[in-house]
Amino acid sequence: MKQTSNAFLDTARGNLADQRLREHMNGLGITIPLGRAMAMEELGNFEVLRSHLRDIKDHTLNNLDYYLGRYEENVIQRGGQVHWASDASELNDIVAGICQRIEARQVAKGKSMVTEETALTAHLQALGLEVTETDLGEYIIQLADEPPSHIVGPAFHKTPEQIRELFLEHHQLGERSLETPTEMVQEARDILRDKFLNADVGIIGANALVAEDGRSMLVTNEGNGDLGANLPRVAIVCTTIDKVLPRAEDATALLRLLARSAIALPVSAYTSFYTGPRRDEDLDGPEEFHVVLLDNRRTEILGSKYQDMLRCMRCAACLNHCPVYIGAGGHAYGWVYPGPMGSVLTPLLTSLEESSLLPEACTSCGRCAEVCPAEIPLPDLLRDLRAESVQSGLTPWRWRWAMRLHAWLAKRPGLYHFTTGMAIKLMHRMGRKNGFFSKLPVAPGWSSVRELPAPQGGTFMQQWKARSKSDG
Amino acid sequence: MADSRTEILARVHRAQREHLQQAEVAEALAELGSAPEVELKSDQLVDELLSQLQRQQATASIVRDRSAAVQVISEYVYSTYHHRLVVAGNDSRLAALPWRDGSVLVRFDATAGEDPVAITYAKVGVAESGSLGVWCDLSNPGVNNWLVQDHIILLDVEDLVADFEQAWQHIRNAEVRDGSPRGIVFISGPSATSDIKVEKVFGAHGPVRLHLIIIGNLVALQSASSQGV
Repeated sequence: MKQTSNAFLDTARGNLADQRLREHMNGLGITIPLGRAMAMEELGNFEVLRSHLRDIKDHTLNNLDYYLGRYEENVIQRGGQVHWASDASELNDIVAGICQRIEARQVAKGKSMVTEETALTAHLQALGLEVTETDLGEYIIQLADEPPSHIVGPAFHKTPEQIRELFLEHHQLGERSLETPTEMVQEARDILRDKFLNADVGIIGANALVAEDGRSMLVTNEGNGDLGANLPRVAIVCTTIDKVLPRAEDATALLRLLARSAIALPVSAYTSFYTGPRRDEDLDGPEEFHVVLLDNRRTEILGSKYQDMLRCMRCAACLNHCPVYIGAGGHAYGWVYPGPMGSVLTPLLTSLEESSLLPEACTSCGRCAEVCPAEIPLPDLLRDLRAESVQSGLTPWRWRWAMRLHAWLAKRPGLYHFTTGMAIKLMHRMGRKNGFFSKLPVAPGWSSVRELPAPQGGTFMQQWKARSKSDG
Repeated sequence: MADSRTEILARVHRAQREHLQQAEVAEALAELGSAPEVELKSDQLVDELLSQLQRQQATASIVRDRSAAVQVISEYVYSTYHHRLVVAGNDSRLAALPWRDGSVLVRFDATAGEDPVAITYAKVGVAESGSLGVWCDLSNPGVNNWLVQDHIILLDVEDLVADFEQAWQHIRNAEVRDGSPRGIVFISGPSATSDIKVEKVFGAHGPVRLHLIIIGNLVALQSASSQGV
């Protein structure tokens, strides 16, 4: 997909002006965090479990070549085939190659952020394949020809009325009411059932890969990924190298936090572990089972100061709790991954030049780090990216000069205290009449929606010194 | 020119923070131990399992023996479809059930989508999450889990464990006995979606309903013959 991350402000402005979207997103920003909080309270040991998972994940990443080797060995031993893709185009070519070799015509595709990252659907369609997104949310946005706005609920931005209109337009089924979500789900189920039954290839993602037995864990509520893994002649798992975990127990420990963080339940309806094709005696299952392991710059993140990001399990808790995401909407981020995790991943997987505004889309409130089940210090990583952005000259010149001036002043304490003391006095005098400033020439954007109270008394340091003196 | 596998693994090797030998990796992992134990809300595993399944809108019956299980299946299927036709995999435990006693007609096969009801015998039940571990193999073709309207799963009470850690141990023992399947699925409710209006709707792609039949002599529940959850 075409990246538009640097249009963040314009897209966010448009989304903020959309009253319907506002109400919709505000509702999500309340109900989903509430559900997650209740689920975690019921679990009881969130902090202990996430620390354990952090340690397991760090251990795996620190010994990644060993665990990837073990995983590959076990998939092959169970009859599967493992492919390695350095970048997006290589993954697309591998999958296309498999489809062409078996003369596939129809592909049933499950939800996979990895294939969004590589734009696999468009690649296969360009080769003449009929590709159907089978996750209901993905199917809706495929009909709308839009990118996902959320990594768990890709069509969360769509209202029931908009979905109804889409179905009436695209499904030629005559007159019908289609008023309720139940009716719409039933209609999609009937249409997609045919797609599954006729698909030659099923493409699924993986929430974790288990090194000790070569199984890939797939977590779904709908069961669409499972139909894709069981019905077509060929099953292809598209995933990334950072998904591997040592043991099956580690995958289900991750599941405990993943499901509660994503859907506020102890577990999803289906948690499946697949490896290898159908056995000789089996009555169903794919004849071929492929796993494509994508790097796409993850080896650049490995070992860097951003390595913690590779612990991300794509639960979307950080999105659901981020005031900027809820306000700006997922499409404002302009690429595959929105919200705080997207603001870190997008610059790392694409480039900081193409996405330098994303690390700025943060209020540093810290809610994302608080709820992250992988204990990723997202605000710290965003701060580091902002620092890189300044160092690379990607921020406006006024910001850079202001930063430089501040740094210069901060290194001279005497001058700093004198200057800030004078500024406080001046602002106190200027704001005496109203008690606040409604316009600040140095920060017009900030003061366009809020007022700055006029400073009272001296600077913090002046007051601190006075207080220390009086306390003796 | 090296292939992508070699290149990626070389990049990983260069970037990763540790370079331990195989035995040292195993030792480091062992030191990290296992996940903290899950605190169950109930002392009784069956109660915990049922309460978790109820949250996912699944229903359940508890019966003392396999003959009673067939009766429950017979009544359940007839009440919805006015027939007693079901599909099931080639599971020796299912084949041994007294189907005739309940007038249930079983087709032992993989469904192509024409069967409304599938029967599966679970290998393990996980109380902490209300999950039923089933195989995808000859004993339970994977499609039978998803191409039906109603999925009925049987579970011997001896196969019910507290958490996933115990479940994996149980599964490894079963694999030694029965062989390793190509797929293991933990089913915790009927197929569902919340993609429209964040409103939960069942039967997104797979079964609209999930019914569990627990088979065993439960001391605490001796008086309960066949109760809905």
